Amino acid sequence: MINENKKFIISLSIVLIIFIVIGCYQPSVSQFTLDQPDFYGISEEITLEEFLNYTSRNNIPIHLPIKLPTENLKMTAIYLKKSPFITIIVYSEEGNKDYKTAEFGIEIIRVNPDRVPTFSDLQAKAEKSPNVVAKLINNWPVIIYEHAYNGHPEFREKYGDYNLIAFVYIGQLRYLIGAPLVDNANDLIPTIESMSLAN
Amino acid sequence: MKELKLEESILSYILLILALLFFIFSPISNVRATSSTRYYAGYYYNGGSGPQHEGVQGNIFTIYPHVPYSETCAEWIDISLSIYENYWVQLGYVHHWVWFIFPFLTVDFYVEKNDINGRRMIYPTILKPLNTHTYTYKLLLTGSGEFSYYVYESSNLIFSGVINTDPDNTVDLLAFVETSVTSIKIDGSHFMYLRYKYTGSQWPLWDRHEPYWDYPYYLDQRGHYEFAAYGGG
Repeated sequence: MINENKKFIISLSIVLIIFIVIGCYQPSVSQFTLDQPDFYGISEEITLEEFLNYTSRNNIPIHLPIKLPTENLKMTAIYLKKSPFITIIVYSEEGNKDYKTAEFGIEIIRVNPDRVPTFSDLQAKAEKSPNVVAKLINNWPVIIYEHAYNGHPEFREKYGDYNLIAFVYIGQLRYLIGAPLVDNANDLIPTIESMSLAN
Repeated sequence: MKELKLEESILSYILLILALLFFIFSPISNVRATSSTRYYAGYYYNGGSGPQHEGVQGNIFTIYPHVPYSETCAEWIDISLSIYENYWVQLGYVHHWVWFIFPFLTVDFYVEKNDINGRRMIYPTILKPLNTHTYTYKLLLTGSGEFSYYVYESSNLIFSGVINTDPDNTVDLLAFVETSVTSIKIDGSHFMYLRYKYTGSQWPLWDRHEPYWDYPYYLDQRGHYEFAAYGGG
């Protein structure tokens, strides 16, 4: 009788241990991710000419780079949402028009005037973090993150979790430049320096 | 007789192990197959070409749909921080599966962000959103890189807190139902009194909206600041 009880307790313990181990190795169930819909459903793809005309008509001065990180990069798509004003400009060497996976891109949004950071704000932020560089380029406050997480699963599958990005504040516009194939901040600076009024 | 008992006990162990192996491996493949797909129904604020908004608020009626194993269903308000890099901060409730010896479907309030520093999800309270109850969710920029969140039932504060993000410039406001599989029926989803904030303490009702839905989900657009979502199953 004692043996039977012992057997039962041992069996029960084994089963419990197995379930606990399974629970520990089931992170995929609890580590789900939520997201938000992508930009394609709410934006329109337009040509560069249409984009420049739209921004001229609405007094939105647009600066675009003349010098890109590599010579073979070409502008492949422009996605515009007029309200609120959000633009994504995609560049690729492979003809890729997908803003999530292309080799280079720029997002332009409006920023509240009191939320435009000064160069000293960005400098203070850069001093606290490794791999972050603050610069004043053409009198624009710029902050470059050499190791920024990218929120798109498609991007992470192609390039890994991190990429180099820069925020360039020109007037009331924030330009977010994404350059997954650029390794360090110094390699992106010529591109930012070359940004000039396009409309 | 003794030998027969021993054989029986060995056989039962083998059966148990086989059953467990089946239990372990079949759901894992299911999880991997469905984890990246998402379906949505809801509103963007579509907030004009002027300066960006700094807060979003809304009442969300809580539903308890059937959620298959390893799948998820959430209803939330959200402030988008970058479309290009997919940065955002979100507040709402979520049905999701957790393991505690066995898999359990549970429902939680949550706050989540995706930003330069990575993804972070917080369950700020042990209290659960109750079926058919309506809660007010409020999310707003309150400092440099700092978003405050509040959840109320009627006027009673259930919990509040702060989550930090980098960047903190707001791009757009959203209010959505999200599922990971179309077999989740979202009938009964109801968002009301969607509000935005620029600066100051005013919270005007949304005065415009842009609807978005993925088949087989649909929207009943009852106004700029109210919608019901249904479909799936």
